[in-house]
Amino acid sequence: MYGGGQVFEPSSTNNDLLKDEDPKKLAEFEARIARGEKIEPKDWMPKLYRKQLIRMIEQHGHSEIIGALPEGTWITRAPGFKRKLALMAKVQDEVGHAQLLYGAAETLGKSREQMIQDLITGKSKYSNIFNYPTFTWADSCFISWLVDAGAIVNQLANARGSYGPYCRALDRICAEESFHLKYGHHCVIHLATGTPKQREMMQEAVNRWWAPMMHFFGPSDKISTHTEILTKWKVKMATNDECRQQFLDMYVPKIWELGLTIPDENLKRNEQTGEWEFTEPDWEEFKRVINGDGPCNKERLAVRRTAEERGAWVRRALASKTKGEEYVAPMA
Amino acid sequence: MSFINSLDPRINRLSIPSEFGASFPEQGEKDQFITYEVFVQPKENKAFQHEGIVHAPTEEMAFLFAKEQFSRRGMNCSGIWVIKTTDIQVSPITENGEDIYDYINKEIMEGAAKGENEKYQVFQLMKRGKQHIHAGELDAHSPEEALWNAKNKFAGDKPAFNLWIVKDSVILKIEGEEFSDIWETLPDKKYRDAMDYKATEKIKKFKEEQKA
Ligand SMILES: [Fe+2]
Ligand SMILES: [Fe+2]
Ligand SMILES: [Fe+2]
Repeated sequence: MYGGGQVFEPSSTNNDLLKDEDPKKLAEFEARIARGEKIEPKDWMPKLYRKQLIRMIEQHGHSEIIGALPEGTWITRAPGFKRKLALMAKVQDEVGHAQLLYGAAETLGKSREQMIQDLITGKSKYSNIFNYPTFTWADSCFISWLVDAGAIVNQLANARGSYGPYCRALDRICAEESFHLKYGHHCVIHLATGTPKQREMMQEAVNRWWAPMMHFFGPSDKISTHTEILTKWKVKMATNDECRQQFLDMYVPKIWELGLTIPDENLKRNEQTGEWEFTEPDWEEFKRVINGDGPCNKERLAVRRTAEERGAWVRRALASKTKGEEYVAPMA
Repeated sequence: MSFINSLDPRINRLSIPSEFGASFPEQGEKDQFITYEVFVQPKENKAFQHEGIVHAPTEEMAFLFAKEQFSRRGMNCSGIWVIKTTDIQVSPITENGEDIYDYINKEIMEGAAKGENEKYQVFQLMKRGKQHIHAGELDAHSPEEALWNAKNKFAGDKPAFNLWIVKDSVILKIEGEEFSDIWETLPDKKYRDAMDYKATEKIKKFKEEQKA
């Protein structure tokens, strides 16, 4: 997921939530997960499980929506008809992913409208990386290839999780991501193997996006709060560092083979441990941007909120057709 | 008045005041649409299966959204059914691999309000974690009778864990010959397919040039 396995939440309230669960039901629930079975919306589940999943799936959904903005801006300026078609299709997919994810979160009891409200009032978070601007076409190419690659690492991990509706949505999403990845790679290859000017443009995009990309998977396991219970419940399927390592392992060689330089002198694979070593990302900047002080936070939310407000009359007109029909949570 | 200044010309054209977002208006009346459950037929003559939901004001719009959402990619759709979430009657979900049909007995029909004899569609959950799949149709005077009839018609060696029962008359069905041209252009949209972005040759050539 775009949220980078990073569920933005102080964990202090977790123990309170867990305290008064029925131990027998909890044991059955945990046994089901241990057997590898999925949890379905109507099954009993601990309050903490429900709460964390809503937060995680919702943030994932928001990231798809907000993530469509920095790429969407390049549709009209994409070089050539074919690239326009492809980027339009990709952006449509991303917005579709958000709808699939909102649908999965809704089965847990939070309405889509409430989620959208929490996004535009700044209460819910989305992936930090989309608070950075796309100055050139190459920035858009970087996102399509490498941010999506990072998202795929997370999404494939989460697809093995325990909540049925989320897993089913992710299966669908991952199938579409393979197009995003190939398309993005194709775009980057084209620039990186092109004229000196194209190469330079691509290199500059890599320079701009490398730090946010390292932030993408969330703080190092050394400093992030441990979430053993969420691992046991198969809500969190891989640690931030595991995802980051996997990403580096798969994509650094692919970036290097295009003759591009990654702006970190310390980046190398330790042949003994098999682990990637790199300069510790600036986690203070990461926190600052999450808390609203990034280059595009304000614009992203303003655009989303404007769309919501200026589209309200359309929804009202259409909704008049359904007057009296009550919203209920969807089923699976 | 100053406006949000974006790299994106389209956003500049929106003229969003720069102080926008400093405060939030109270949310007025809820304007969320109801949900529809979407069932897709992946291939001709294959069973429909549940794919997810859409929010929509009417079933016609639900179909349009469902088509965008669940049949964007070629060759995986030859029909869509949409059903309002509240129109689906749901059985309990069983535990420990028990067959839901074992819990359905004749008494289930007692006290059920009898209506007209009508056609119902039955969906079964055959594997936890997977989708509900269309089992078939039957006639009944009530959803309860439909459950009982489903037991006689669909109970088998393999257990079903959960049943969804729907009156056929409330389903919007876009399927069959009549609608086949809706899906016809899907395979043409090659640009939506990962296969359309081969680049190995280009990388190979580039690497050779670098070496030379
Ligand atoms: Fe996506
Ligand atoms: Fe993406
Ligand atoms: Fe994507």
